[in-house]
Amino acid sequence: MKKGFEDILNICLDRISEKGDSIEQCLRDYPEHAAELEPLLRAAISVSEASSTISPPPEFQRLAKYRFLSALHEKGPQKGERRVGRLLKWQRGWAIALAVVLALFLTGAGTVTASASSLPGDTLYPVKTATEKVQGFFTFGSEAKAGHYMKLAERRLNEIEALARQDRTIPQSVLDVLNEDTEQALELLIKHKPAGKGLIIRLLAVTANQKSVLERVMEQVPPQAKLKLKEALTRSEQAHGRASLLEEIYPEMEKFKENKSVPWHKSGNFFNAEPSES
Amino acid sequence: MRDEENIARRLQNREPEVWTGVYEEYFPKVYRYILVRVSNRTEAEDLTEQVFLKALESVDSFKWRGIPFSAWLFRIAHNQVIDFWRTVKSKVSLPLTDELVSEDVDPETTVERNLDVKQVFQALGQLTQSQREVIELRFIGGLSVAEAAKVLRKSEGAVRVMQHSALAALRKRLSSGEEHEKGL
Repeated sequence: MKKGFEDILNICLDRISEKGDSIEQCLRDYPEHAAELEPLLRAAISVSEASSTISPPPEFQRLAKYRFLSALHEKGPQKGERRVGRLLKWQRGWAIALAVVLALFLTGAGTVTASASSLPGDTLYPVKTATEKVQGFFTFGSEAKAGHYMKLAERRLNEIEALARQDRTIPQSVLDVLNEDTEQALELLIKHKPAGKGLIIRLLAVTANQKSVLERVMEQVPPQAKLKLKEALTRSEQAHGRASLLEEIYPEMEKFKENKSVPWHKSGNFFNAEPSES
Repeated sequence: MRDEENIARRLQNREPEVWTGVYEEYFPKVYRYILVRVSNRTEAEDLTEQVFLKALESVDSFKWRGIPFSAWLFRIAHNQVIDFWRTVKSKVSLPLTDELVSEDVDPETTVERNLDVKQVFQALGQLTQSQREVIELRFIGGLSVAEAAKVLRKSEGAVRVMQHSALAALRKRLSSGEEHEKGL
């Protein structure tokens, strides 16, 4: 079928934009249309080149990306399940915490001290986690709580490494708590505007360490255990990515703290992931 | 097509790495497209953010019917711009001005045939609405004819015809602009 001029024009435009052909190459293939084609192709290229000089301001781009990734994280499909799971664990945790307080009255602090080196599956492990919950209850302020969650995440990571070393099964619940504590710390740093930079850097170190330890553990465990470790690793990497963005936008957050103008966002709320009504 | 379908499914699963890839690829293109259409940086920034948040919000309603995700995204951008103009009092487009040229780019920067960037946007601003739309989607948004056709809800043949007449009109405006510059 004979091609019409519109088709030929479009073929040339696609060749130029997709294959990087020159105008001259195209004109050579369609000499009978060259006179008409050339000015149209040049007009199209001029628009394309002019628009390539437009780019979003880098500080806006960074903040927008951060807000978008936060919204994506909020809307994650497993979010609802995680909340319910966390709530159930929280209730169960508090029942155990109450038992710990009672146990302290009855047996003294020795049991709690002995539980510190226990691993998941050990008899004293519930005492260890319940003690942590009591400590969390008496930790006040977003920054201190974020630090507490990071410390817990570090402990869970040590436990995972120890279990792998002893060829013991790594329970899914420990991997979940590792990720949840890390994410809790991150959320607290986000909500606390701005968190101290030291804490952000610590979280970056915590998540980077998670990556290297989980990768190492993955090599030690049997194949059927690799998948759950891979999932935990992915969540750790995501938390690391979000912490990196947080570090990147730290100077803007400082400006925000000082009430400097933030022309790229009218609401003045850096962490407002909801689209404003137009 | 199977790849596109797979990407759409993974976006619906809200896989962060796929969303990040889409975001990084299309964010600057959507921003450019919107800025050229609204001629206001602050509004363009807000609208661009909303496009991606809306896409995230409504990705579950995205049904795979052979429409590429990029076309769907630009359809959201297109509707955002229409809503924007509906809400502003004046329905007359603002002139395409220096606002479009990045602060770090010299407005005298020359493009094809030594036209400066400002001249190109001025010529674009003189086209009809439908002529501008097709040029903006094709050469600013970087969509293919098939994708632009989905955004504009027209046939590919109709878009090819529109593209031809839009480029002819643009060429005419650019030539008259050049003659004006030379004092002819």
